[in-house]
Amino acid sequence: MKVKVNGNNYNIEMIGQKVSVNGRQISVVLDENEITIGGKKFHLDYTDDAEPALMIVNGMTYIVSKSSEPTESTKQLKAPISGRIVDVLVKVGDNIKKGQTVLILESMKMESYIHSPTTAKISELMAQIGQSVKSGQVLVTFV
Amino acid sequence: MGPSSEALKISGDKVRAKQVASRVAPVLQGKEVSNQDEALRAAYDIGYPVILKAAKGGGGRGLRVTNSEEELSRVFNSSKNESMIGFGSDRLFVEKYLEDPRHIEVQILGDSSTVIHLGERDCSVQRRHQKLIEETPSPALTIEMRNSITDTATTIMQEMKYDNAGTVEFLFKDGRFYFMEVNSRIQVEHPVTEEVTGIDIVEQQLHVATGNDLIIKQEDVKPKGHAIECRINAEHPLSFVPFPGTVDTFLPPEAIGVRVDTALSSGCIIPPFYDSLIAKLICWGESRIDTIERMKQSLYSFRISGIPSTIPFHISALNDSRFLDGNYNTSFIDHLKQYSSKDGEIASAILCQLPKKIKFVKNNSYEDPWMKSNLSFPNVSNLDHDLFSNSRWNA
Repeated sequence: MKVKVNGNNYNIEMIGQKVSVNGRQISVVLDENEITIGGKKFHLDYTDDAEPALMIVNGMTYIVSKSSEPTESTKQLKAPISGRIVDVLVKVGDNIKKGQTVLILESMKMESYIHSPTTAKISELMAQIGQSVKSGQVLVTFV
Repeated sequence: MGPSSEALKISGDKVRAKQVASRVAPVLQGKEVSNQDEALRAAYDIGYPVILKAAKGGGGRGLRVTNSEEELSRVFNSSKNESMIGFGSDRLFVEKYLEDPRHIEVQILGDSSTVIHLGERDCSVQRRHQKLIEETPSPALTIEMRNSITDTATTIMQEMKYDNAGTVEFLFKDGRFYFMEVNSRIQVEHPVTEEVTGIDIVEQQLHVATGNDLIIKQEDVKPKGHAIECRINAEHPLSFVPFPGTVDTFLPPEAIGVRVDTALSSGCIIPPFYDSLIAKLICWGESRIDTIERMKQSLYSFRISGIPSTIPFHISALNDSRFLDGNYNTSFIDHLKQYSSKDGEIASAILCQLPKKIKFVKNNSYEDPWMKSNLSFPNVSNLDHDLFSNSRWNA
């Protein structure tokens, strides 16, 4: 199995109860949202509402994906966090490139540039300047 | 509550404040400009790199560092707009940009006739021109330099006839300091000063604001020990992207020499409308090394779940040799070491053992539009060591 963590790929093998990552054996015990590694306990938060998913271990944040390949979720751009749209830099019908800035979202008094997850044509734009959006809300769909 | 309107008119305007301060303190060369041509001419005279600032600005907004005429031309209008929207004024000025300085500031208390100082704070660990870690005393100053910078700050505020609490900010590099601006209010980082001086600054503000003279004299101010503040923000600990959401568990540390200023509790919702600061963790110790050790233990035992926080960043920063040596400046975060592959391996091992349908985080769906495929993370050192060896979830 291949997984992706913070943009890097890792090869995973399961050998009985043991996990081997890139050839290194790591013992991890999971109990609900408590993890034990090397006798020490950590707290786990995880959500896979979106792809890639968000995993937080004692506050340390990982952007994770169980498949290292791009997925169907690139058909949509969802609001990564709640906030207010302060600028929309594209329109319906535009052909945009992966990584191109699509809109600017203000949250917690900071402006974040939201980039396109894919190279595609915009089929629908559900974001307007001044609009408040919730995390996970679909803002743009691609053909 | 704050200084008189006369003092505020000067101290709240970066251009006027600098004019007054330049009579008694070293300043960086700069000029107020009203249009792009003037800005280009001023930048030519000063020499690149220059920084473009809003005269009425603050909090890092409206700041633009430019290295060339092309860059300055490109950002001039957006800086002007941002200044108008943010501060109701489009007055800008161009100033010589000092690369990788330290940020050192002096806490001031004043009444109608007297100004005293409560020592300095070193606030050089910053991201986006906003502070993350503050400490007092600054590990960069000799006794002579400390006396010089605090005397200068006091004189500047006397020139402004400043009453109530305020801060004079300086840039410091190669043994020299330059006046930057005055903050005419109580600041986020004031607790470190309170911890070493034993003076409640807010109490003093109330005292002066109700028409009384200061009861504290300069010779009564005797700082003792060392204090550090770590700002706990609802942000991704590497990219510092803000994360509103719902806090599941919030259990701050409790110990002697540890102070936590916060309004949060388990189950609180952090809305997207305000700043991302959710708690201030302040530690005091007899020496700097004791304080760092106490801060590390406090960070390890601080339990926040449901949202990302800057705690892992602070753990890395407090294990970084530059911080331990006191040898750091405002570029500290840009030069954090590579995040470790072992950390990623452990995260992978956790990930592959997760059950198929699992959801622990509430209200926090997440996609990855900021991260380019080639990973644009600021890098954090020794996360395997810092997070997985030292940290504990005390279940």
